[in-house]
Amino acid sequence: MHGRSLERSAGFGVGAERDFAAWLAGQPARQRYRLLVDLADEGFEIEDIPRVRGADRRALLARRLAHHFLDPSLAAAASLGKLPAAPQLERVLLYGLTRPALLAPWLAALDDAASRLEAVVPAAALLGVLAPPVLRERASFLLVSFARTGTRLSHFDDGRLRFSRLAAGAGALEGADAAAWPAEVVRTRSYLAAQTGSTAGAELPAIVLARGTTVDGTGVAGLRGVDPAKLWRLPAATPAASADDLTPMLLSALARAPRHITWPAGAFVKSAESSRWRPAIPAAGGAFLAGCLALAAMRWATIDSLAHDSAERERALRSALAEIAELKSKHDALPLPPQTLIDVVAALDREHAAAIDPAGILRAVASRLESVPELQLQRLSWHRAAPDAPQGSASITLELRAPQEGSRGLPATRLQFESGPGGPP
Amino acid sequence: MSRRLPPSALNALLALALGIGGIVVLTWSSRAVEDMESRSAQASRDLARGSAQRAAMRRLDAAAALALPRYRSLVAAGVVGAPRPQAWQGRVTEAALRHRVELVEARFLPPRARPAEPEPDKASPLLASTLVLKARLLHEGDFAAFIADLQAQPDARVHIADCALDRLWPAQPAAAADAHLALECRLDWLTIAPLPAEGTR
Repeated sequence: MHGRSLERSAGFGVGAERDFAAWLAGQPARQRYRLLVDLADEGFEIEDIPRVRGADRRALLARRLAHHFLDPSLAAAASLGKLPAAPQLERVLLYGLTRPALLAPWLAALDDAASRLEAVVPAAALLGVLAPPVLRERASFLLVSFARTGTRLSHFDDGRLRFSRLAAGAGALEGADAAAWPAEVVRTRSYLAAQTGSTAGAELPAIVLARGTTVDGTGVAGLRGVDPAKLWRLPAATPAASADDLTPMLLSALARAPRHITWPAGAFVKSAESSRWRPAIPAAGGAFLAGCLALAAMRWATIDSLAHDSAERERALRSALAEIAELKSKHDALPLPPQTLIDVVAALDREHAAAIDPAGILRAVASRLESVPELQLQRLSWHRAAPDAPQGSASITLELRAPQEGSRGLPATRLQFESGPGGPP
Repeated sequence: MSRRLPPSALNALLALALGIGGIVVLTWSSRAVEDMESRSAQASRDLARGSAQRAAMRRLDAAAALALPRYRSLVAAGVVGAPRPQAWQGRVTEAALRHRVELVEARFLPPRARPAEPEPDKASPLLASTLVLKARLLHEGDFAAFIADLQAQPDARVHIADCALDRLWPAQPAAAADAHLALECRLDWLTIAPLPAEGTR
């Protein structure tokens, strides 16, 4: 299958399993295969089972399939819905190969070649999936289709497959067997009538998927022809044996056959598990992306909060800068740079604070001398104290003498001390 | 002939694309957060710097507002400007006459910059013109009044650097008939060095 076109790669007749194995050996290692099973040896059973779910349902269906079919892995079950009269029951269709030995050598060849068999799909079930436009007729009808293997007669009721059989060799509409298929319709109707126990089955309307060939003149009542080309877009370059051969349609539909109609086929279907997990791969990617988006959303909240804070700070900064510019402009109008102005006044203040008050020194010294009338002041000198002394303090030196000694230049006492800002101690 | 990719490969490609999309989103969001954190931190630093600068400017403005009227009064009084030792010399002589002080010597030394005491290395705007004064006088009270008169000069702040008062004994030949005290002082006449005038900034 390439795009929408089918190409015939090889053909093998009955008993040519070895040729098939040899052909498989020459195929690419990673080639994938799907098997369309269109055989007459099929069984269809309808059962009513208790409505259970999950593992119980799977176990119950496995038991029923094992009961009806030799190889349950080449069989499947399809739900036909709950019973209106007994809601606790579910009607199921069990369908599978009644002679699995027919298929076993072909599956073994695929297994021996380590080929990747993806699915084993029964033609009847695939036809049910393929024919939804026809199935819109909800009533009970017989769908007649033609393929290389013969005429397939499928009974649909309420849009669901109930029964199907392949009349081998009755499929070539233009060939010698062209007259055989109307008889098969009659035969199938009779069988269904016998199964249901009603006469309605004998008059079951039949839709014949055929083009170019009129269904009139067959002598069988209740036939209606539908051109399959009006229902489906047939694949290009179809290697059909006849104009009404649905084999290419079934083969092209094989690639998109839903999993629920396939047969498990035991250990032969190697990609069953992987195909089960296949949808999980993009789902995992999607989940990862969703997680990343959620994380990004949380980070976005952080970004939003930070952006808000930044905007607030930038606003506050602009306000501060505007005030600074305003103050600078105000300072530019001052007679001096503001710091110089402050320094000038501060320097003068410091000098004033460090100044010595001579009147204070004289008053203080005079009051002290009054307490020692026997001494007279000969010399009083002062100067600024050391830089580390308190501001306004002075270093004072007094020279005193006794007046009775009289003679000049003979100081009796010399005092030297530091005064505080308030005058001598 | 065109070949369709198998579904598993398409799924893998889709998952890969989604995964790459997720990584791109994560990377983008990480970078966006880092950028925003960096911008926010920068904004914080800028704001702290700006706030500190504004606080300093406010303090400076408040101090300048207090200093400005005093500076203007100093300008008005003439303290700001070049020293005027000749004018001061005349005022010293006049004050001496007013307070019966006999001047022996009164001369101004060239003005020099006054180091700023808390920060001696800092350039000081103050100029000190030192008056070397030698005189004789009758009484300590005259000395105090004479100094107070000098300190009342409007265009300079006059401070005593050092001073010595010696009692003159009558036997001293150099003493005047009525002088009892010899005075020897150094007075600093402080002015503020000429600064850029108003309107030149």
